[in-house]
Amino acid sequence: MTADTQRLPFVLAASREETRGRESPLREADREAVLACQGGQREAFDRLVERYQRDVYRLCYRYVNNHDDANDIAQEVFLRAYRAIGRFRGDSSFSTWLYRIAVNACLNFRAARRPRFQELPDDLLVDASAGAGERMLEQERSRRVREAVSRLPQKQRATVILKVYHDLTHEEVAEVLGASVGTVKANLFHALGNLRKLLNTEVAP
Amino acid sequence: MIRGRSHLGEAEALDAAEGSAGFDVEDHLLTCPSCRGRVDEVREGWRLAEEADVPEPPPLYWESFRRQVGRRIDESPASRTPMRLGAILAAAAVLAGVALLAPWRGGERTADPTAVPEADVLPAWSALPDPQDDTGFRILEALAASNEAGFGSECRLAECLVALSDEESQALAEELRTSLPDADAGRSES
Repeated sequence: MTADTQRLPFVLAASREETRGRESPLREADREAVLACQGGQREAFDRLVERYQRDVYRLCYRYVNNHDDANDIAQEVFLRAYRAIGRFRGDSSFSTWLYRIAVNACLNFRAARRPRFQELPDDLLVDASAGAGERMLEQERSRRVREAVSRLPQKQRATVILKVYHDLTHEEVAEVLGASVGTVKANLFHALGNLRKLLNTEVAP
Repeated sequence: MIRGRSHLGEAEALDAAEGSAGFDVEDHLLTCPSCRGRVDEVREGWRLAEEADVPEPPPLYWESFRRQVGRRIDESPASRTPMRLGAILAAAAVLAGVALLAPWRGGERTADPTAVPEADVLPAWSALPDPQDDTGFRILEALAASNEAGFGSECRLAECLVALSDEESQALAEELRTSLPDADAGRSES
């Protein structure tokens, strides 16, 4: 087997290219919205909320594993971002800055409260195309992996969430977490190894 | 293959799993089952991680989410942007005014039943200054006075101050710093 064929066909690879391709216009749009917001235009912040609400919610969900808490934290993240946007200087991208607020909010939340592992009610799930049995299996797999992720040490968990699920580059993850790229890679390496052990241990007879 | 190349480190194994490793790493993997196994483990961990999807709320949820965020921003005292600059300047003016007046109000203070009595001389190791020399004391007085009277039409001074962000607090402190030396000068002249 050649090295090429060994490469993992990441599902994220395509979306990453897509993301990078539209990075510039997106960052420019963010910059404009931030400037407008700093000038007192509330509607500009609404645009930012609309653009990032899904990402922030999903990040929070991966930390707390339930809809209600993810909803509360995600709202809090945007509230904090609004209060602090006057201090945003554009040294990093807005999304990186927002992720940093979100990760901090999640860490603070987790420090104050134990996770509930409550799932979003089934009737709120959108995808009803798959068969009921298959869907249940997928949900169960997702739940097991989410729980395994939530059992990872804090920094490893943050790294997996940002890198695997939010498709940030190693450099961006390092910026969000205030760590070096080397540390991020080491954390991710160990996180993936631990995840594998946790999940393989669970399924082993 | 580079002769004598050591086994892959964590970062190199990760890069290899992502397909971004250098040619020397790729060559090494062709001949080193141990490192190949390590890279495969990373890939397996990644594949497992990707199985965890987040349940997608219905589209209507996002509209409701935006409304809730907007409402919380509106309800937050710190969100009244147009008022905030005015609040900072007005607060600075109130505090500076009280600071200017405070040195000449020593006699009045003893006549005021709500006034804080003069403190005894404190030991040398005490960090507390005399109330008349304590700008913090004058600020507290100003806060108390403004809270009784109310501050503007939107909120009381203390509420406005609590709602200020770090940056705004610094702006207020800076404004006060430029005002208080005048007060000190006035006091020394009296």
